[in-house]
Amino acid sequence: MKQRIVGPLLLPKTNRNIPEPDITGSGRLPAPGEHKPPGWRPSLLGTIPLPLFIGLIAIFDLILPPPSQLGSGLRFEPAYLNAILYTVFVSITSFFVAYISLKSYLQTGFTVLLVLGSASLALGSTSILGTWLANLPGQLNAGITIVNTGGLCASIFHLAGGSTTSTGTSIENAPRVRKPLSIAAYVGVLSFTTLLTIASLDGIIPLFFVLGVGQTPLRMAVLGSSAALFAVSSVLFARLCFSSKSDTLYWYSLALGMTSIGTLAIFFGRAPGDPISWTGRTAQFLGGIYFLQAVLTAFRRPHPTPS
Amino acid sequence: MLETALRRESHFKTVRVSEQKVTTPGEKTRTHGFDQLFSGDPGEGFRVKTGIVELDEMLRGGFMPGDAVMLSGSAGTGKTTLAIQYLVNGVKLGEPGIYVTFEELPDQIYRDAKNFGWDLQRMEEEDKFRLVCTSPNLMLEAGDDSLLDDVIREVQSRRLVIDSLSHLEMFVTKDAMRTEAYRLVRHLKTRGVSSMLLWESPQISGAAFNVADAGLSFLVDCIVALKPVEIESSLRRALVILKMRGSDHDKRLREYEITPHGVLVSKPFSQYEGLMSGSPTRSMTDEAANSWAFAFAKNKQKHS
Repeated sequence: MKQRIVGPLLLPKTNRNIPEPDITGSGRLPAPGEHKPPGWRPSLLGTIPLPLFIGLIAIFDLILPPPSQLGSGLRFEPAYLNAILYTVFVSITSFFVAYISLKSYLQTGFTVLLVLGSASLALGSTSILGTWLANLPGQLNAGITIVNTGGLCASIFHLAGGSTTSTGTSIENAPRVRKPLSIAAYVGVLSFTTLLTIASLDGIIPLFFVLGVGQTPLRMAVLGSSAALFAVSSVLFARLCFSSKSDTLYWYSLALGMTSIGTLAIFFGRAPGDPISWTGRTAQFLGGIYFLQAVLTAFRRPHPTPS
Repeated sequence: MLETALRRESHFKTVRVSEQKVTTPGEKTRTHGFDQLFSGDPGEGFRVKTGIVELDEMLRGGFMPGDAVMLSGSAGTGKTTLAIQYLVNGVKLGEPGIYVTFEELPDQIYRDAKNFGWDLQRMEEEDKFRLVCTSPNLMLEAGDDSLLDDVIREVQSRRLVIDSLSHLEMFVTKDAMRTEAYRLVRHLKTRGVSSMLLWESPQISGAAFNVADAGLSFLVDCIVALKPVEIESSLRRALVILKMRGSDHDKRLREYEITPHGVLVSKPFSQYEGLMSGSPTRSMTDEAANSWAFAFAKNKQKHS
């Protein structure tokens, strides 16, 4: 049977990777940037814990008695458990983020990457030091001070990173200054952690936590500020992720959101080891997993070099 | 001893008269090739500098004196440019050189060199350089009574480039090629001349350099390979030292460019794997770092 030639229908269709020319229109091929990505469907499963944790914190805050009336049965704080969990879920994941951000910065020179890397390094280093120190006799306040202050520092860096990325004001450094700048930034963060640790152990920093009394207004201010800053950063990155349809940004913003909720939970907590405190910690650990997920998406999805 | 001391003294005078700015260990020991070989004059640590700072770094100071160096690469990799630059820099360092070509005509070489700012004719007039344009069969016929001896004596050459050894292949069988190459290398070594033998590897892409195929790799003391590599759909050039007898050397592949001033060697290709195959890929971590940056930089591009 003889086939009739009907315009574009007879074009070869064997290789689906090659975009077919638009022969009905102007005849030009779409430019690389013009390609519409296939429908971006982020995993909504990742967002479910956010309202869940907020609800749990609200419920626990309503039902739990004030710190002075909190029975020992409502507290679960085995030695070193918190330190181990923080190390695994917060510190190690933060170090991954700090490492990948450093590598990215050295490759591309975008300062926002260095800021985010410094934020993660601050969060990771203070978490590991603070939580382990808190297990030493009489050093609970010092440990809490280090973790909370490091968290505030990380939230400030994240806000700086989020706002500069949102406004498009991130600077691109020249290759020759990248290495010295990154060394200065990371050494600076580690020096800050060291000084903070020394100051906390020496009692130079005002008290954050008094055993039997609870947290001081200073700690509440620090925790409240960092929770708010983490939340704002999370919203900024969420906005960016929806405009750029990036899985990396999606998980990053969720991770910041979980960290914010975790910090907020500690703000409402009655004592270390109470149900609110564990809810907050779990949120932070989940945040760490989300940070790791953000890094893993970068490993899975190759992108062209940013110009 | 006295003779050596006098020779050194006379050399220093020559350098002062000719207003050479660069002083190297090589200048202190500059003697005629024959004398140099037997006087044991070159001090320890003396190297034949290429004059390309980064390449000299890769060679831990330069080639070993009297060594036969093979410069291998496919068409368009800049073998001739690098070889002439090696000779020109040698002249600047007080080491006269000879360029033997089986390929191009003198005018063409003078013209091409001038484009890089090298006045070979002036160097010839000053008896610091010689351009020998001959055919491979003439050289083969001359045998041990090498055509080059007179020229080596005339300019007291310390460096010699043969462009290219691949041309000899056209006149002899594969086995005879090895014999002839061996004879040539040995001949130049006994004259105390550091030789650079250019070798054109036929493949532009792929893993092979074809140095080993010709069975010449064991004859030479050092192999410098020039390699075109495809990175992100553009052609870049990589340089690597495959072998260097009796010396440590940089084992990394480094990028180089042919600039208006000659060959410029730059950073090692640290972010890529499989460069020798001609189609390198980034390491997994570098890819991830790139992707990580893209997630944030994409927004920057949108706003800017």
